[in-house]
Amino acid sequence: MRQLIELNVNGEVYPIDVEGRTRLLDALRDKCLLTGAKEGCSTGDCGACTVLLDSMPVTSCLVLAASAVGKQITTIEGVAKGEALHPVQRAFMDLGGLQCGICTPGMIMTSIALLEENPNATRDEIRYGLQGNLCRCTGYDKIVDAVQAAAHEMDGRRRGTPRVETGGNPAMAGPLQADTTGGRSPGAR
Amino acid sequence: MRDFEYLAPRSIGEAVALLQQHGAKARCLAGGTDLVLMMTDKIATPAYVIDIKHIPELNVFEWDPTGGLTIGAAVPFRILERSDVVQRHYPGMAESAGEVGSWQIRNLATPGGNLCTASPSAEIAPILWALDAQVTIAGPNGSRRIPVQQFVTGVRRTALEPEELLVDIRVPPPGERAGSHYIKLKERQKMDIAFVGVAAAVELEPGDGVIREAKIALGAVAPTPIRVPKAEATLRGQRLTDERLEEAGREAADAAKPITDVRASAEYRKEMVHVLTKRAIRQAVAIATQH
Repeated sequence: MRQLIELNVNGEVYPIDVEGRTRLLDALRDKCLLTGAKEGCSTGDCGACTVLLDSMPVTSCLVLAASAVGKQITTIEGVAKGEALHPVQRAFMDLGGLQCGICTPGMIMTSIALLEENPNATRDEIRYGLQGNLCRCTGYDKIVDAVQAAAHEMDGRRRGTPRVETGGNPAMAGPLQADTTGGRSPGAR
Repeated sequence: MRDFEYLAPRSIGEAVALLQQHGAKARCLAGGTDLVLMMTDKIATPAYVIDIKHIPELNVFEWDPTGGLTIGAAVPFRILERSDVVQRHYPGMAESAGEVGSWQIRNLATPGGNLCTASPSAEIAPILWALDAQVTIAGPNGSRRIPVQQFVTGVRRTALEPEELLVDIRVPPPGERAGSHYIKLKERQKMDIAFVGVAAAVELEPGDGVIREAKIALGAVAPTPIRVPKAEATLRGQRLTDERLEEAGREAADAAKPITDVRASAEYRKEMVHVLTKRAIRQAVAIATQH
């Protein structure tokens, strides 16, 4: 049955009309035209459709759009600040944490939530946290490398001394440093 | 997925009224990790979906040293897994909650939904059976409370009447020197269904290590989760010795009535019940000894 709902996605309100059966994934992709979240298995196993609901990662293929009303939804489109990529996005690029790229939006959303909860996650903890995100190219090592590098980078930012440990890509230093100085005073935690 | 009308009642009374009105044409939605999947596959084709997540009583998660733990039917596994209270007082429950699906799934899926789906391998069931949990059910004539063991009546069958709603799960407080443990046998570390699930909850006499109470429950080896009273009697009032443990393990294996399927053979499952029951008891006693 059709109904008009409002979804709050990446800080913007999207008034959309959906059916009762419309899944959050379909609402995001087809109604909000945010196609970052990918449909993989449609059974909640692969994690390609992962988005954050009130900061918690969920598989949006198992959530009804109507159930997400009133929640803050964050998709991959909402994690960069303007042109400045999120450190996790940047690290995936710099360290080749992706091959075909289908799993990447989901991987990044789970990784962001993971580092939010556990900023000093070990490799094992990263692997544990990403158990619900499958990479069928099987490029897991570099994904874990990337999350770990992002953790270092974000830790550096919190301490006001960004440590760039991702291979010295010159593109990496610029926006991150600019963002640090613009965001918090040096030395603040 | 067949379309339906989405309903989001704000109170138990409203939800029960909707269930009375729509009966078998309605399904309750908690985390959705079972129901949305069943609807996607057209195994479930309800005309009305009643989202219970907006009902305050179903979101209660409360601990009280005399009353125990209340887990509202809409509270997700992730809350249990991360709760200090659950980790301290019901370690086996934290373990079993952490075994469910992935992080993404545990943020959605609920113990209440797990019970209502009533799969023989329901992850949360063995530990709730071992901890003598009860469930609160609301219906047109008010609410009733029954032992969790009476809630699941068969494969995917529960004691819920069509116009009734699961409100919460109540877990009694553990004794002074209590410990619990859950072991899931699986092929992969995560995203797998239990071949066998074994839960043990024990309470020791003060001081001397005699087992005052032992409760053993098995999942995935019978149409419903089961308790093993014979193994419990073997341990009750006794010290834990290798002989007692072996006897309890064998009795648990005898009580198991597993099937052979794509995951494992019945023989293998029985043998694993034997081994894992011993392990679960030993660990539960070790935890209790620390108190």
